[in-house]
Amino acid sequence: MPYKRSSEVFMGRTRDMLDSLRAAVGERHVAAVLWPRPVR
Amino acid sequence: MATTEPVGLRASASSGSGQPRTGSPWLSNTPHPCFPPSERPTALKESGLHPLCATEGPVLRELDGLPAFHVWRDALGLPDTVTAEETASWALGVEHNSHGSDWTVLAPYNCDSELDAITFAVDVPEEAHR
Repeated sequence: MPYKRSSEVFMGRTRDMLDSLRAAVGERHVAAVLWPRPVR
Repeated sequence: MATTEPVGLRASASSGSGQPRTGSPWLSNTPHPCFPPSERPTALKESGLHPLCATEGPVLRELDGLPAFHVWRDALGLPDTVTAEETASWALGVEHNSHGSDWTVLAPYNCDSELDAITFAVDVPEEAHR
């Protein structure tokens, strides 16, 4: 499986997770906050 | 038509069934972890799942009762020395209601190896707190 579940949290590759969640529950039910990341 | 559902996706997670979702869309035959408090210990024991633990705003301190960054590294198979930048292609999907129908995907903004905590750019959804 692409994800490992820890209670209400899944951990996985961002793109795979977004694609799978959107396919499962619909795009409007999936929010994403992926940026900003620190740049060093 | 080919399905786009991931491995382990429950059929009941698909819309149009008319039935309330009773489990995670990700794990087949697994009770949902969001149980009433009075049922939680037994239900969690049966499911093998554990409650999401300490969060403080955007800081996730514990998962499964363990330091969050430790669980994160272990889940992704990353070494202890990994930095937030090196996890740029990974994220956490946080379920934020008891029906498994609303999710927020968060990318860690910072990983603190001393506190073993993960910081996000926004608060962890309130409904995910236990």
